[in-house]
Amino acid sequence: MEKELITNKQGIMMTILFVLGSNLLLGIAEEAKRDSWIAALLSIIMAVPALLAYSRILSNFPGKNLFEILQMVFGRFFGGVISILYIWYAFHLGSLVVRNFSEFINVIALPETPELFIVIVFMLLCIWAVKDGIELLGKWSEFFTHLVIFFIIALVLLSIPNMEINNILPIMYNGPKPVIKGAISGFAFPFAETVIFTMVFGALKDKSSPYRILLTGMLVGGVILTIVALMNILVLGEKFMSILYFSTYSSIRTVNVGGFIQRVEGSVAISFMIAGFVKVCVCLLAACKGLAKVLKIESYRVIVTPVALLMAEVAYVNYISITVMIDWNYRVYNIYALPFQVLLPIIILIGSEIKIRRSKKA
Amino acid sequence: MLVFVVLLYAFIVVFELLPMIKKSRRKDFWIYLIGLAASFVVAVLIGLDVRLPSPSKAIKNIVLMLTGD
Repeated sequence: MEKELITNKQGIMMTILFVLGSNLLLGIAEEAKRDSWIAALLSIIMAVPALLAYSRILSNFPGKNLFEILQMVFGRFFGGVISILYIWYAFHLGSLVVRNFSEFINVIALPETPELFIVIVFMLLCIWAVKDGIELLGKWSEFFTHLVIFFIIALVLLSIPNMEINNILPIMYNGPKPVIKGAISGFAFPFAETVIFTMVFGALKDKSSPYRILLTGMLVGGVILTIVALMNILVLGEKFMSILYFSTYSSIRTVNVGGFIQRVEGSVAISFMIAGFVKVCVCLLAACKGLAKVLKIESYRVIVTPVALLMAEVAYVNYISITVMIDWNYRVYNIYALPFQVLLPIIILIGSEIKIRRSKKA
Repeated sequence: MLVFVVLLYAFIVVFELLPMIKKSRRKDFWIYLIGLAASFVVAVLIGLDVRLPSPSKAIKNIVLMLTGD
């Protein structure tokens, strides 16, 4: 298995783009409506223990990704079973993100184009990137994260004239319940999805790398998402936010500085696509690495194309329409993701700690 | 639509599968071929507008059953 090294900085950049991923598009913790920014902050706090757990799993076995760890801790059979579960999770998550973005392109840019084309073109690029390996993704992310963050912050600042402070008041009028619901949703989507990185970070610099990469990436990404959520509420107001599918895109459309800087939503759409592209690539990479380990293939590069094509097809087949997609995200995803993000990592962490203690004694 | 799918897979076969026959091991080749064949079948079905079972729908049913919604 080739050694693929990424620096801490590249890892952090990749994590930032991953965390920004679909949430830049769809918004974070939107169940909390007016208070979604509070819910977002709460979900960052809630996600810190989870990310500490993922980092601990990785740093206990330096140089190994989750699938190798699973086999070492639980043996070939049970390790294989849990691996298959995680392969499915990475695969399905990738298909969900692909679908999110193809819906986005379909709704705002290319309504006449059959969605299958959009999905396949998107996946062809992902195949190319993943075949070149995680170093390519790392270097690419290192460059493009700056671009994405610059665009987002610039456009948030430019939309300040359109902000209406009353949209955010009264704070927590509906009480803590929607905020907590929003925080759980924010935890599951996107922060705890960084469990995918445990499958992908095979070779990092040193033992503290996973902590630094995952926590820094999540915090930066989380802060940006909170700022974006705040912008959405202030610009659009609660009523419009609940109607619109793509709140960030819609609030950026209102930017109009002196009649000169207007219709800038194209540049922010590119930023969305960059973040989504990295997210899909990471999911695809995770699924391929897992399958390569389970099927005992030398290199994951061999199966990238079939897995990616299947991911594209599952993406197409997943939902009939965008409303079904949004409904699924709100109602089903939190609970579906719970075993992968919370339950299994706890079991894996306990198992790996026991294994480490035993091998120290021996 | 179907034409596009067939063309795409022909493209993939020419550019990936044929070089693979000479280069790789048998096991890699067979796994790739099975994966590609499966995705080709699904792609053709999608191209023919056949309604395929959706994994998300199945997951939704399981989750709603568990939460008693």
